[in-house]
Amino acid sequence: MEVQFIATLIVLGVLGMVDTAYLIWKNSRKQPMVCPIGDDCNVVLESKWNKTFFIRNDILGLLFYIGIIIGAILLFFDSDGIVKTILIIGSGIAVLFSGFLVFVQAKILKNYCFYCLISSFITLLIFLNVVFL
Amino acid sequence: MVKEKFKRESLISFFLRSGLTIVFLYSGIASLLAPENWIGFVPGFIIDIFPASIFLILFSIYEIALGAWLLSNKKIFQASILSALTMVVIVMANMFLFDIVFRDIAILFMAIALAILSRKEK
Repeated sequence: MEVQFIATLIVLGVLGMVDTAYLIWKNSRKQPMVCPIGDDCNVVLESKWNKTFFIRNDILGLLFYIGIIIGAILLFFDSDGIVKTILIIGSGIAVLFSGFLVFVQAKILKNYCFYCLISSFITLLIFLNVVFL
Repeated sequence: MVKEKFKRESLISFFLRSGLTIVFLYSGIASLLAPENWIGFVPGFIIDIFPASIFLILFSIYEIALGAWLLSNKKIFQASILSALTMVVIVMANMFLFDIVFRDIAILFMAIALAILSRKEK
């Protein structure tokens, strides 16, 4: 197993964690988001699509990235490939889900949330990284 | 107009900070996980006065901290100046590996660009 891929996975996990933690922190302080790409992030973040099974997507994202970091560390002890399989399945589901959320932003809400797009991009990179691990 | 300029500058700053953060976090984490791949980059004059393995651990922690600072978006002018100086030292100390470190010059200029962008006008 290439150490470079594991290091990249940890870096991506940390970046994703910071991104989602920032969204959670802003929401907890009830501060409106400033979207640097011009669209209104708040339209996306306050829509009904920002919750999955009553849990905010940013919280789900944070849990996902924490899971990725833990998984990346566990890869060192993964002699039978179970952790890698779990990471592929987990990140695959996350890519499909975040792809769906990008679709919702583009076609239904017609507004983009910059930080959500960054999270989707990080998720895609995590999936590619895990596949090539 | 002013708001647009502010948004554009925040976006540029975000991407510059993210790029620098990824570089510092990756090299810090990778050299902690696999020091044998990075020990060759420790310059000779450091090895003469300090054990290379300990230096590598300390430098990795420094890089991770610098990456975290850049990501925090606090006092970015100072963080980018420190990043630029770090890149200057890395390039200068590894001039004999120029075919590998020449790309670091791009990172150095990213840090300089971020410093200029984040410098408060008097």
